[in-house]
Amino acid sequence: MSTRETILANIKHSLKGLPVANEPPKVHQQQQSMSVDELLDRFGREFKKIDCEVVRCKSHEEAVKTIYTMIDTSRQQKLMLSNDSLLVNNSYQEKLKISGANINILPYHLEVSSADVSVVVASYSIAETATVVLRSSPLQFRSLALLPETVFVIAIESQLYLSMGEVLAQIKDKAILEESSALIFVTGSSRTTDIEKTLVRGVHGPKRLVVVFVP
Amino acid sequence: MNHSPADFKEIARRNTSDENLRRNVRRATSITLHKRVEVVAEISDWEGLRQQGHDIRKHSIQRLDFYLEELEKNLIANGVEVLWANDSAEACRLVEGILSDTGAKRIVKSKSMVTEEIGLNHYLESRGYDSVETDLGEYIVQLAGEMPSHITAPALHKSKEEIGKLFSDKLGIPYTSDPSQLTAHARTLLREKFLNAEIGISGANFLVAESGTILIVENEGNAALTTSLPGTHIVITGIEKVVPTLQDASILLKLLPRSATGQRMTSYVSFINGPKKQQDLDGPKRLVVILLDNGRSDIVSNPEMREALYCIRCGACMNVCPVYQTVGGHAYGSTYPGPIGAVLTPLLTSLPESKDLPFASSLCGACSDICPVKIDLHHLLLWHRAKAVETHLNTFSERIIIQLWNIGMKHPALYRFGSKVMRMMFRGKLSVPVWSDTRELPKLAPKPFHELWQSMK
Repeated sequence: MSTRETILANIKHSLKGLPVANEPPKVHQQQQSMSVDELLDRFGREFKKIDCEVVRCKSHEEAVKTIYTMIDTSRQQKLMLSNDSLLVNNSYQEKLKISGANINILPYHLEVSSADVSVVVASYSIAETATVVLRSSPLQFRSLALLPETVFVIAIESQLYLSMGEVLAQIKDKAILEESSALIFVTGSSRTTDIEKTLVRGVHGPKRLVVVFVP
Repeated sequence: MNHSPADFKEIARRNTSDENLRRNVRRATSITLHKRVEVVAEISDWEGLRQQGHDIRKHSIQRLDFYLEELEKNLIANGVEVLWANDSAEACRLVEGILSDTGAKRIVKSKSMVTEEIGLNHYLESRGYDSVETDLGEYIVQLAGEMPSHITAPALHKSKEEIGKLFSDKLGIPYTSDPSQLTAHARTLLREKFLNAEIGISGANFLVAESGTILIVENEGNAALTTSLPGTHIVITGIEKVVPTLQDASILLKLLPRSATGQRMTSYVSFINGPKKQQDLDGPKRLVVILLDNGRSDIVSNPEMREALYCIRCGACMNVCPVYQTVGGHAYGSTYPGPIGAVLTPLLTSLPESKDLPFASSLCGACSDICPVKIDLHHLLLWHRAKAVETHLNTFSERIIIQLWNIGMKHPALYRFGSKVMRMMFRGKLSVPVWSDTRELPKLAPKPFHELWQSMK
């Protein structure tokens, strides 16, 4: 008998005759109908509790200006942007290039460890925990949001939901998991309290995470 | 480390006098407990949520065979290789097999109690592999040559000065006790390891059967890097981690961060569905999941103890346990310390090897009250104690004393006689071996209660 067969046989034998439902217990998720403004307000409040920054912009032009003004351009900054169609179609790269001096746009490439700043796109966001959901794809690789010290996440207002349960239902319905090797749910910056419970940001991932909402 | 559970009494006695250790542990656990209170209060029906978590875990274990088969089917459909390991030795051999397939030597690891359980680091080091822990707390204890002392805060027992000295001695950097500077040094050193690693090894917090998804919960980003950069990713996980659906996982993800670290959500939760897609720039080309038994199917066969497998490894029971706060995690001599460790260790090893652990409890029940999935921990400890007595693991003198007490309880005249004899022996001052070494016991009253009662009638 293989190890697999031995383990499963052992378990089956132990559980034989146990009266148990075939289906898992129904999960009761809090259902709340909230407007976009209310959801954004909730996201903002939760994000503030973890000392991170969120900005609401009226347009992509405003989003580009916001990114530029939030970067420390007193010194040379190397930026890498994801190839997500949202950024490409709205010319983020071109607009940032001409925004001002000291912006050096790196080509989209796996060698992201030399980038100071990255700009990525969230597929979804979650208001009750201030979480953004980043999807791995050929246009947006995983470590793009993990290696630079500062990461800007462009999030679409209409993809903001209240709870993780709602987002997972969306993900399941749209078979997103089948198309992506991984989704990373990001809530704030990289952090640790492993040394005397003192909070330190940027232990391996970014020190600074900024979420920019666009319509 | 390293001790074994058999050393518990000796190590606990030593650690009780270690004021530094007690201060470090108490400070760390009380900060987490304080944060937990705040985020739990935000949930309008925390008890309802705990019950949901309990029901999900109970159902998952009661149908464990079904969900494991469903998980395996979906993992394979996602392009993941699935291996099964009966015990630690088999799991380590499977890992080595993958390493020798790839010819890889450079390994990064994210925090995984299961890999501690199987002694993987020691196994790999003895075979010449360069395996580095990337979670900061795990990195610290690896440098120190110690075991983690807490399941979510491995270096909780160390002060910043001790860590500063460790970094200075082992890494040759100028001494500092500033947590930011120490963390910055670790970031630089470990970044190089991430970028050059050939293999990433992780555990898993949950395994979702319906989609074949591996969930990893963390704050540092080291697990996300460990599972994204190297060309091969190996997941080693206990079979009990499986949950039926994504929605079930969402409930457990509401409970886990709040209970573990006092957060609404951790910085990163990776939902890993398979190796990289062909056009992806990063992600592993090969993803292997090793499903580990190591005594868990035997726990399934024990209806009284089965709920020990519901544990979601939050560590809240340790934070609130007065024994853990006093003696620290290393005293338990096992991978899992604290109340859950005192329950699991005798089941995963044997009760004779770890017989003192279930008795390292005042049975206050704080662990059961705080457990996010409502495991009846203190009653599970009582079950172990009953087994210890049935199998004569307690001392001969204890058995005699309990027998005498039993006889006395059934025969009031004998009890009264025994009481008079004790009063003459102790002359009003009680002395109990070990207990009297560190505390003053109350004086015996001049007359026992039943005599006072009779005189009042």
